Amino acid sequence: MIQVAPDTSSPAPSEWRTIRTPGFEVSWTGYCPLNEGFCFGSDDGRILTSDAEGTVQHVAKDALAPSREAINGIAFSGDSIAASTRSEIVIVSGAGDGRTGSRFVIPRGAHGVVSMASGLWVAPLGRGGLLTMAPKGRSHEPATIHTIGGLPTNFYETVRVPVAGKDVVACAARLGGVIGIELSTPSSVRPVFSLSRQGMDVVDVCALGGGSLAVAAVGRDGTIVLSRNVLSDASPATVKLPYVQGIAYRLLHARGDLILLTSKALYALHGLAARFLAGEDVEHRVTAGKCWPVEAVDANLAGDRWLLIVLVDGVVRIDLDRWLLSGATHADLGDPLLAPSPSEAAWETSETYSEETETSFAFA
Amino acid sequence: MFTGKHHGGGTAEDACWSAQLTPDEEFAVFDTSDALDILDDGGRFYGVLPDPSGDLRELGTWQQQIAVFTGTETGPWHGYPVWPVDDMAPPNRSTQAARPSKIVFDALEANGLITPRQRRRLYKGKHT
Repeated sequence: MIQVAPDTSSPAPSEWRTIRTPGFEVSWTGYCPLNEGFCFGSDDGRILTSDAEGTVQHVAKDALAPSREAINGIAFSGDSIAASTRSEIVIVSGAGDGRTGSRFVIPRGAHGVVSMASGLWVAPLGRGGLLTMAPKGRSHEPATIHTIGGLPTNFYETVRVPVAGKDVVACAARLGGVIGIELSTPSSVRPVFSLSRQGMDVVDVCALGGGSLAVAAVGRDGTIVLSRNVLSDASPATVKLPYVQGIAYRLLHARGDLILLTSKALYALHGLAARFLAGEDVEHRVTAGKCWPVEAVDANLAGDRWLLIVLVDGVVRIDLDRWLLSGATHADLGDPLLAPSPSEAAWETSETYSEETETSFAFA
Repeated sequence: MFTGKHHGGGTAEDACWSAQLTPDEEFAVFDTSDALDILDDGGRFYGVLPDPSGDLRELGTWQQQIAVFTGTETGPWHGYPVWPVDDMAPPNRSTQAARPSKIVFDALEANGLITPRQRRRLYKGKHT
């Protein structure tokens, strides 16, 4: 059997740049559509923006989050910005950079926040449910908290699944598996589809793009599950890569590759998503990997070009144009380098409807 | 003190210890936090349980990785895994401590119980 070890060399210096933010301990980073640069959240509830070269453009003097807790998610919708912490979700309307405009504080801690194509805000509240809120000018409609009837569910990470004309969200729900909800349907018939497997602790999920409902999710142990349709696929592919080490933190999709951040390293899994979508047997055939050993806190994509890695002492910007294409090449040697799923446990599916509670919050 | 409430005998709202933990391991979480004075401003102790590789064990049935211990000088202490975010409505918080404060994470790191990376992850409500 031919063993293909991942390329463990560090990226060449030209492929990454370290962004330093003195006095601003970065807790989250991602794309900023206002300036097509980057946005950063801090451990004390502040927000900073930079251009794509990492040159700081604006640092908020005051914390956006009243609790001064660490920002764990930022999302944009029109001229509004939402940020989440363990204590609250803050929405600032009328000024995208958070400096001015009306500020609305939802006193519920969240694991993050995303915006949908319709402008709907979505935030996973852990066992508290999934919060959605529609921006409506400078005021806001009541928030809706979705729970799944009778099932204890831990909404942990969410991602928008970009399909035309619909608001579909995929959730990593820890032991509750992967959950897909179509939010654009009337509430009385809003379907929820869940995919879970005994013992699999799903910690992150990403959309596979192309206008499809396909998603990939990762378990805490690094097991990856690929679904062609987060609202209906009962037969996903399961991939456990032998060279992945550490506790999985993030799973991202870029250009047909999957990017996996664990407590030990950053991995680029060449062509895994593209080959899955093309109908290849990714469960048993080789996926070449590329690995950068690193102790990172978080990672995120910024547009189609940049990968941002939050380290303890700064942020690294990686140019995907160079990193994904350099070093290891796509190898599909037909040998069973990829072990079949180590567990014989079957996937379980559930189709139900979300239970919704409308909740009003006072302006802060 | 090992309470039934936090070992499956309470309501669905009560945080419960993972069945994977032995009573000795559960006590070790408290013992270490007590010995190192990992306290918040309210006098509550907080603890974690690193495994031999340095990764943190899951302490609760909802994958919590930190536990809080409350009590008095004279009364028995009892503990339970603590939620990473304030995900319940405020009225429901009254019986249990909310997420640990920043000084708890700083103290855990200063005493070598967690790494800087783990502190940064836990402090924003993420697993590590």
